[in-house]
Amino acid sequence: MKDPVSTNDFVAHAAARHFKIEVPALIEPVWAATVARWHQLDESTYAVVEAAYRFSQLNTDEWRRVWPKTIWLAATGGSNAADYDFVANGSRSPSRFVGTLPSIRSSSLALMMNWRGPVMCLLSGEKTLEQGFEEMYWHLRARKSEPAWLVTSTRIAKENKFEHLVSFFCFGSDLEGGFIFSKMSEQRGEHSLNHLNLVAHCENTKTNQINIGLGLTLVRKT
Amino acid sequence: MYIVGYGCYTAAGKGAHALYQGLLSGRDFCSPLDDSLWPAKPMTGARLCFWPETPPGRSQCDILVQALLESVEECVKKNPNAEAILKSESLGVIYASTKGCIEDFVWQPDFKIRSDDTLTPVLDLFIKQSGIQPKLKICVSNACSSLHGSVFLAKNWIESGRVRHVLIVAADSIGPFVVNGFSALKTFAETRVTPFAKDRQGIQLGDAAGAVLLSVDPHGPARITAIDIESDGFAATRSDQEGVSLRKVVHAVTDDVSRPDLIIAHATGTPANDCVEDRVYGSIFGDSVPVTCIKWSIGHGLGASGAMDLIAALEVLEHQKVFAIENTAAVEPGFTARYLVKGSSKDQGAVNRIMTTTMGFGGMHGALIVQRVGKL
Repeated sequence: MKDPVSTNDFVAHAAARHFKIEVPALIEPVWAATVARWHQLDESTYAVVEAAYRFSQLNTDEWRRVWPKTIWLAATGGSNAADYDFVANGSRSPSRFVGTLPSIRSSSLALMMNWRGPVMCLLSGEKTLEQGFEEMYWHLRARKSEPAWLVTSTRIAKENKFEHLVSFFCFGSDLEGGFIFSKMSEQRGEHSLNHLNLVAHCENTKTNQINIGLGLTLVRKT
Repeated sequence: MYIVGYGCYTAAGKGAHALYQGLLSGRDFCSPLDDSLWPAKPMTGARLCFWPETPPGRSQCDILVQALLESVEECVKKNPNAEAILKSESLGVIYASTKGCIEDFVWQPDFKIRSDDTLTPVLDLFIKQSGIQPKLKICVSNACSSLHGSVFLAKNWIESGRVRHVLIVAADSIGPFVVNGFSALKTFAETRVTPFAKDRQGIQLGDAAGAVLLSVDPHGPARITAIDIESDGFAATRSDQEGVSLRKVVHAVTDDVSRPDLIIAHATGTPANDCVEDRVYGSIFGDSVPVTCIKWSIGHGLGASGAMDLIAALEVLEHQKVFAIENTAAVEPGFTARYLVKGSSKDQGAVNRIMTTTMGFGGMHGALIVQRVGKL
């Protein structure tokens, strides 16, 4: 395995946290008082906010250390579930319509976190996630690893229900069990990153190096 | 970042000059809804601002791409350098939009939850039909602040040396999906849109497409000297009344040196939006900087609206005549910024620096400064 430090002039610390959130919510979330009309949120927004809340409760010190200056949303699939929901329910609901903006999940996330700052919502078909990583690499490089998050979620069928896999890739954060994020190659290639596979690799501690495509790599810290 | 070329297609017609002339002449391009070509009947009789020519029987994706291709063609006509830049290997392309070609999918009888988004097909078809071969391409969907988000990203691309040039294309067209949505939100004005007036009722929507070609090379008549974006979580559909995020981005792009000569405001004409804008501009600039806007004339172009503001600003920088908010006869009492209302002079002195602002759903805010550097 190449040493990322010796092959690049820039590397960043990264931490990854993943959560599976069942939708729709069956009980009132703990953060209900913070996000008004939480029960009207589209399922993706609900899942992202609930996942962020669970993240905040894991370890207060860690939560403080990963606090982002910038949030990038890799909005694979845009707002397709909310689009469907709006039309299937007669195209009359204002709250369902609001959910049809791919960027809208950042609003409730910011509210729950009491956060404000730049948000970028990116879409690029099946390459959305890997391009999100690429933008993150250059953003971190330009801003000297200023803490930033790449947030993504994927809707998964589970028996007769659905759940959202929500991932927070927290860059600029040197945490236990984290990664080093670097560019190992100038070859962009034709790789298409699958969110579920990426999470499986992140959670398998025997996987030391994860190829993100576009020449980018996450190397597990020992 | 220099602006090498620009072009647009709005309800005012094809070309940036048609937009500018429409604004200068005080035309309101809003018309009663004709939904005969739409895939579904909307639940409102809204007044909207349509492109004058929309070929029948075409998909929304085709229509958006055609409008973008014509906008890029205008870039090339305006500046001979643009053609070479568009063929450059160091070109990136960003498509700014809220919903892309949503109408092509949601009214199909077998419509299901898709795995792909509705913006990327527009960008891919545009690239294919334009013949350009960009090194980088991506879609930005930052609600009505998508143009400012795209400029923020373009700055990242150029400053990091990944590309030397960025073509931002922005387009949203109006169909039953968005009309039903805004109807549900009860944001439509029943009559004319009158930003900053006491009796303002709300918005009208408008078809809009535009292209802005940015470059590190000094080949253009203007350049973007500052850009900032910020999101907050105050509420999904409105900013907090103090306008904290708008104030922050305005402060970030202006100081005593870069104070604008003109503000082209977001100015949707909703009671809440215009109050926040007045509070911010009035408290920062007092009555020293004139404020105008364009949505009263061509409607709200959603993700493309910021591009229309920027293109209108570029026309003002070139021709040095400022359009007023001709639908608004008098400003709401108590507002403290200086608005160019009906009958205001088109001569506001030398205009060398213009600030455009956006306020999008989800707490998205943006501000940029565009500055005149010379003639094409």
